[in-house]
Amino acid sequence: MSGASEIVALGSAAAPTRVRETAPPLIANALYLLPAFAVLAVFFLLPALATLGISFTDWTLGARKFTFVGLGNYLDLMASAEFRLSLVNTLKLNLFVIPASFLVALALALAIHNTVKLAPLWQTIYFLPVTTTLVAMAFVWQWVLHPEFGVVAWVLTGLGYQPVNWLNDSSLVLYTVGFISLWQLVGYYMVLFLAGLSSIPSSLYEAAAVDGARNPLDRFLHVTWPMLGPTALFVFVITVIKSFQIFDVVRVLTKGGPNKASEIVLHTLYQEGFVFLRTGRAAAIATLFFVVMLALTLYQMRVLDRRVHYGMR
Amino acid sequence: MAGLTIRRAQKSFGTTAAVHEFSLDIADGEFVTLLGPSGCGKTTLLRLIAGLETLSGGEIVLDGRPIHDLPPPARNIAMVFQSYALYPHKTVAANIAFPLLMQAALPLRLPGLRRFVPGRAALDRRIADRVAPIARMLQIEHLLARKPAQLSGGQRQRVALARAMVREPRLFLMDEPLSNLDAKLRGSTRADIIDLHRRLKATFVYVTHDQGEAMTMSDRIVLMHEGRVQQIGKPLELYANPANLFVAEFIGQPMINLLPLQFVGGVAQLAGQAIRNLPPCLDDVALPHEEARIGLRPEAFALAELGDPQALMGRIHLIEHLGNETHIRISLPGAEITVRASSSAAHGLSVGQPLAVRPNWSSALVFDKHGNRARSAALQAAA
Amino acid sequence: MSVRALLVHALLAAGAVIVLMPFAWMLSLSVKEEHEIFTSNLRFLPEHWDWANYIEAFTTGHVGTFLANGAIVTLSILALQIVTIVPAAYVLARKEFRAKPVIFGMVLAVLLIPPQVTAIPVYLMFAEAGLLDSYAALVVPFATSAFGIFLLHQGFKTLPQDLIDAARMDGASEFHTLWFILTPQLLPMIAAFGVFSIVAHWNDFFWPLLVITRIEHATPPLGISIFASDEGGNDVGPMMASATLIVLPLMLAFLIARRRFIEGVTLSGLKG
Repeated sequence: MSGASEIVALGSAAAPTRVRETAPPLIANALYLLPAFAVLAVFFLLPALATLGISFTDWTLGARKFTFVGLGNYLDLMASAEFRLSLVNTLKLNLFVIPASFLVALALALAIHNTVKLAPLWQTIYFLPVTTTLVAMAFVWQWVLHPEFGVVAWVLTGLGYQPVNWLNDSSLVLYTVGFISLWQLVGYYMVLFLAGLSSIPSSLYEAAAVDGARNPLDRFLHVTWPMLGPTALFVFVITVIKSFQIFDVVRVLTKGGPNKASEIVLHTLYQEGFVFLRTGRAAAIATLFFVVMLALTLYQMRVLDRRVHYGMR
Repeated sequence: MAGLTIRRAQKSFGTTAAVHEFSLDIADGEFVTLLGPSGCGKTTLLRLIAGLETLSGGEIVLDGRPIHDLPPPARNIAMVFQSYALYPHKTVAANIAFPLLMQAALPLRLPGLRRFVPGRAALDRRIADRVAPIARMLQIEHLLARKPAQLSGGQRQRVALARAMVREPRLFLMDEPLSNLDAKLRGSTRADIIDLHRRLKATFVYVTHDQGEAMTMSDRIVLMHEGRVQQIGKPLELYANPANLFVAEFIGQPMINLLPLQFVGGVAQLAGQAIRNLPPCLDDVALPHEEARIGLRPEAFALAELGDPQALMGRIHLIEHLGNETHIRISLPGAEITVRASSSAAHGLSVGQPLAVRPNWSSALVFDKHGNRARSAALQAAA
Repeated sequence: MSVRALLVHALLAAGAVIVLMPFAWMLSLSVKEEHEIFTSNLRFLPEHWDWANYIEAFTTGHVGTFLANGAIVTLSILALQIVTIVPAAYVLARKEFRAKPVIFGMVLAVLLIPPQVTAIPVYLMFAEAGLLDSYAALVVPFATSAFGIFLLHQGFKTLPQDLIDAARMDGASEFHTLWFILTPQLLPMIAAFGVFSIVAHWNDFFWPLLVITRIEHATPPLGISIFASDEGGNDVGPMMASATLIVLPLMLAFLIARRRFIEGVTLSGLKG
């Protein structure tokens, strides 16, 4: 099954061989490093610092002058009802998407792992959305969910319900956006889980059977889940990171609407920076976003490290 | 009658048969080893007994009760896996206690939640009382709080044994339990397992590909090859009286010497040398066969004077000094043989030197061209 | 098959219907005439197969332009990435020099930076340089990948020193050793990274949205969104035809090389 575990193994588990300097030409080293590090410095490191710097100014895009406002942008954001709404929406969206994606992916992986013969078929089907361009599929979903001409409305009417305006109902729109994201990424998390499942040695299940584990629940609680623990933690963190990066569907389908009901932080960042041209303020949002993602990614790296060094041999 | 009976057990994977019509009676308390090269079906057979594989045909009866349709937990059989299969997330104590925990009611089996279930403390005490003496016996008491990853190979092996013992099963299955240990540890653990078998008075079915292990540990050996039994018997029986060439070659280290026997004009030629005075018993057995091979163990030779009419003549090809004894490889015209000699007898020999060895005909084994034992007509009549 | 297995398959099949629904609907709408789309009397197969939507996708939707742009941009990015990553990863993995910890620290630091954070200053740079609405704006910021350096660094570390020594003994230059002896050993890893990079940049929307405004340089996701807003989103048939054409290349690649593809895409799990 999947390459995820393999890649991890390639990445870090393989024992490093003796590393020795082959030749001393220091200029060659520098030449080899230069192109990559010029790009990293110019397009990643310096801009990240620049963002932090800009976040302390009142700069607007295109303006020739700006003044330092200290934490002004941050204080403004905190005081702004709109930004607070955006935060709340982001939180709501993630509280739906993260557990739902995680649990659905886990359930799918467990189910598929046990269907030995058809596993490749199911895996292919559920992974298919991962390969798609979300923006294009968002437009498709728009027409699947269309309250008048969509399949869902048609099914609902057939069952005797009223059609629902999924993308224009301010109490539903976040969940609709969340569902589309789930649809796209659940196969991805599922594949990670499947890799974890297939790396559990079958002798453990056999030992458990001989030791008296009679039903699937015992096997799950005493072998599968604890053995999957590191993978699960790893998948969970990835789910969180990916969920916080939801943007495309909101941008193309709702633009934050209706009535700011689907306004989420990344969309606010885009609007402030590139529509309203309040660059300083956008930079402050970007910085806040950075801090959250940084914490998550650092945690993820720790988890990854644990995952690699887990197990007996 | 207690014990394990296997009748006409069969197992095939797709079209390939892993075990052919296997039958065996194992007495209560016996130590039986399934021996054979990899792929011979010995592990499959063990897994059939454990219930990890389902029979394609035949039956398995334990203590008078057919068990082949029961799931593994219901068979009350313990197994020690080749990889030990310890639960890496559980402590040593929890690993050993696991089979007992699985006998508890469902709420008590739930990790985490079980602490809120009444009766948990009493159960845990009972379990601890069962685990403690076993841990003491195997000298792993000081490791109970550790995780498997923190143990050495030998310690893991003991934990696996302890986990197998905790339910006090009547039957222990062991799948190459020593193969992951280094040579030194293997020797001492071998003795420990023999000792354990004596103390527990339980039935052991032990799988190995190492004939030395099988010879030293077992009451009886079942030697298998390509899913079929080659011979069942006591270790020395297999050594001294192998049923066929496969058994003769598999058992014994260094390997048995096989010398081609031909009759040219009524004169026996062994490995290309005319043999006068071939003992009549051998003559009788070998004569009906055009091609036969005589099997002689390395110790069935004595160093002889050059020119001894009863000896085989050759040239020393290699000398291996093992300290207590010496193995001498000798090139004969039609074969190469290994002779075991005492160090003192071999003293002063050197490679390239001619050497005469005298076979001890009374222990010679005769094989026909199909590799089966050729027995004398008299013996066959008696049997 | 046991009842439980049957139940599991039934549930998986039900889920599969939901997962595949948008694809079926997309294909269905892409071959329907307008009056068959705007009707509450739905059916999956059209009464009359109308391929005109695909033609319109090319003429008014310019789907040919964004597909070509997608190919140009993703392949240029990948080519630049390989050229910059391989030597950098090699030096970091196999050489000892004083600045190494600092430089390797830089790689790890960049791994921690989400793309949205650097967007504003990088946008400003391209605006100042007058390079908005150009291929350069789409390609140059991604000319290397910290993740790729990290990955190949691990790969180069696992290669035996004997291989390098043997090549030196046989008279190969360092350049030759790197590109023709060592790099081929890492082809599976590079292929996985290639899949990862192509998928990421083919599908990326945020960055093109900032730097590209005209359809001439639009990549597929941006292109279809421009098409949607230009047409007011009512040209459904051609939109669905465009969507089909946009998702088709990667989907076919996935169906042809399933294992490799999954391997590549799940690489991003390491990156986030």
